[in-house]
Amino acid sequence: MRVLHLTTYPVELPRHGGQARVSNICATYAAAGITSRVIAVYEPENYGPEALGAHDLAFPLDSPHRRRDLPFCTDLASGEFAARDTGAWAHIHKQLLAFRPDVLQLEQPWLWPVVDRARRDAAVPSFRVVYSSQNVEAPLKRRVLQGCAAEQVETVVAEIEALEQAVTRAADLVVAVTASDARTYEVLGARRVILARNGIVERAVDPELLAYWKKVLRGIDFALFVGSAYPPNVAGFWEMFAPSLAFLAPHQRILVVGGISHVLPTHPGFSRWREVNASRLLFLGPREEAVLAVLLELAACIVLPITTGGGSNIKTAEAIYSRKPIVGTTTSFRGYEDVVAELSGIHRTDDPGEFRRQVKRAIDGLVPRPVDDRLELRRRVLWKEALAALPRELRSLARDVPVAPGVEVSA
Amino acid sequence: MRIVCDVSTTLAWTRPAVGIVRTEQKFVRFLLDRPDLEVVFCRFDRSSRQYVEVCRDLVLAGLVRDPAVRVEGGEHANRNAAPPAPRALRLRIRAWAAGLTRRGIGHLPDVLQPDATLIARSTDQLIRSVYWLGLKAGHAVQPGRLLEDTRSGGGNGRGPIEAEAEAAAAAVDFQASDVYVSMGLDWDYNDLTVLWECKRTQGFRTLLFCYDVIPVSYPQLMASDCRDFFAAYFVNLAHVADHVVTISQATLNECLAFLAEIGAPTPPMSVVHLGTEVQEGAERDVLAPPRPELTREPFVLCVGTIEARKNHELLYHLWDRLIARHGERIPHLVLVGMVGWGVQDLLARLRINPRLSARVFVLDCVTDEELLWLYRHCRFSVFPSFCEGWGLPVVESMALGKVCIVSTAPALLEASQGLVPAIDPLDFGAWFAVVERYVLDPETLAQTEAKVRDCYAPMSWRRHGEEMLRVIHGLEGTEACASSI
Repeated sequence: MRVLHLTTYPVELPRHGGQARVSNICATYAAAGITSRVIAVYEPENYGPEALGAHDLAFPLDSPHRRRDLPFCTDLASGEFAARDTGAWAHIHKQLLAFRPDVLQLEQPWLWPVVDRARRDAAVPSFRVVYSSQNVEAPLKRRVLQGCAAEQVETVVAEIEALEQAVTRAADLVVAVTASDARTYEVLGARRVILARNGIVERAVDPELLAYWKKVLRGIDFALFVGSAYPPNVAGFWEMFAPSLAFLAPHQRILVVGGISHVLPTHPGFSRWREVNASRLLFLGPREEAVLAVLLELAACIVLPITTGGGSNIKTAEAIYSRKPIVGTTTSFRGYEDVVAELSGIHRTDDPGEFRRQVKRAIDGLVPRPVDDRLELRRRVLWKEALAALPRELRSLARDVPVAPGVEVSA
Repeated sequence: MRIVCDVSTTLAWTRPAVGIVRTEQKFVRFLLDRPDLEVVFCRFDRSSRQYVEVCRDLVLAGLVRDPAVRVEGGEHANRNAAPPAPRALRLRIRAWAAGLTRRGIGHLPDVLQPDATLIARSTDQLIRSVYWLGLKAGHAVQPGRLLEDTRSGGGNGRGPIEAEAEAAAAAVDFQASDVYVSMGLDWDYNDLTVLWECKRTQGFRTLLFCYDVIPVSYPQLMASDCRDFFAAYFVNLAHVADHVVTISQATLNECLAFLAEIGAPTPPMSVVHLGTEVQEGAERDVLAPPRPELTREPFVLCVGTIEARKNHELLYHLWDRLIARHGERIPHLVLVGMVGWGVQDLLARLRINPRLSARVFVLDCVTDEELLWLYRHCRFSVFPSFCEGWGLPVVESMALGKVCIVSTAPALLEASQGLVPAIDPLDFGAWFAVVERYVLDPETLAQTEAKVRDCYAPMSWRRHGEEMLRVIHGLEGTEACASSI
């Protein structure tokens, strides 16, 4: 069985959540004997050659399909580019004929125009369509574009709504990451929806690395925040930590890991009290998995100041598995409600004042580590458990077994 | 309980004492005069990032280095037989020369006075440059480097005080029962993050000072935008201090409001008003006017750094209008203070304005004796500042029985105890009406003056010290702060 994944980012070196998810889905399929191939229609300005897969396709910066009217819309434009640009379509068409996939799996809805064109291309052998969603994108895009010209924003949001509806209705299977997203797809007319939340890989802590970072961070008590340079991550952080990080004592820090390190200081929330915030933040930038494992081990707590966005967050899964106290918002625990409900040391609040108080308590060491680790419960957030149902579902599609409409929870 | 008193500011300060420096020095002197108290003096050593002990003789040397502080009798003063530090002498000479030059210029014809002033200032600058260049070349000893010499342990020509200090410069061995007190310019001469680390490991309690939060509450009234810097300082103060003493209720309120705005913890706070002893020397015979013509002409006084925050602009327009309406019946206006920022344009207009150029005097480098003379002989004083942490000129004026018409800045209302007129600093009409009345109606002035004399209760530095002790003793047995929100 062959699955061709269509993404808007390469997955060879997974850094952000979307990449990690696709990469782990491929690994899960491979473990189940399913052959995967990925075509990423990527932004060349954001990825170096080392990050690219063999079949990836650049969406050039000077392409007429790039949207210049609004920021953060390259993902939406990439579908039109891949399906309409002669060279791009030729590349994809060639792959379709060579690989002859049984299933075309859309990672997010953006490349739907490619799938749509392939469906109508007589030369391309018939295939099943899986819509592997990561978020309900239209409302998210509206929040991301907050502050842009309202008319343009509404136009784009309407385009995305139409796109999501088309994909959902056309797909033989929709994979959602949260129950809430799954309900949305049902309403949109999905034939079958399954829930496969985001997860993490099990990591071992390298003792040498641990000793090194212990030395580097000696005398500092910190809360760990992991995030990509995704605008809602930045807005959420400053929304929950407003008006400033002045509540932290002089030796306490929020340690920031991931691409968000580069954009967090550009937000007005940072510059309002620049000196105070700078004195309480440590930016480590993107780090290897091994370093992240060490930092999770050393952190006093994990913070999840996520206020917008659909889907579920891989950093939430990491936090849960770390067995450290977690302070997060309702949104941040989306997709993991069943696990979180049974664990201690996890504080859920949408009130910034209470959020800060809980973070302070945790860094001060006033939140005891749970006596019972509940490891069996926490293991539910590992990828192998979170994605366990996917290969079975795929085989059902391939066998052309009629499937009953409805929602099934995989984990 | 042992008091660990930080004297970093006193030891590092190399200019005539400003309010904060003087406050620290007054409290240090109070502690020195109390042999019943267990006191250790310390300073923050930036190079080793630790607090080191300072012997009493070195503390006394730091006190007498300021020419404005008299060496009073008593055990410690007698033991400190060292001659005044060279810098104090230099400053005394400079103040004497400035006074002499000013009086000389005052005798010149009006038309020559601006040029003469310019020449005098250039000469002063030249002398200063030569002096500092000499220091760099190693031809003179710079008293301000006393502590650095002590730290490095090298250098020639050091006296017995320095040698003793070197021997005694050990890190403070903080005890859990200690109360560390700092009243100085901590943002310059201390590091609250180091203090925090010491406190975390050694568990003593801390009492810190807040003179005002003007840099964060009114950054537009500062010479430069240092809001960010001071915000970080006040946030650390809020974490490190087990108790914060403010110099007025107004400052306490503003400090609390700022900490709430930025989301910092609020440590326990209390108010201890600053002392004043200006009235003690008021009857001295040696007092002399800084300008001879002031003995002949009535004048109104305004004391304080001449800068935008103090609102001298209002006084400029006020005197211009008063003289335009009443001519010679209006007394001179004497502005005493160092020239600060944002007033160059105002000073230029003062010089050019034909109504004011001979009626408004700007006096810099006034000695304590000259200032006393001015307070004693003025009709009344004015203080229209936009914001203050306390209002020392108001206190001094009223302690000497002189009315001070103040702005409605909260600290000034507090300092003046509701005994004198208080007017919105932007309400020109009201200022005009009140000042006109106090100038033209001696009866009104006399009535208010009588009220000030009868009712105004100035705080002595001794009482200030006792109030401080009360707060310090209040910390005894309390838990070190957890810096919680």
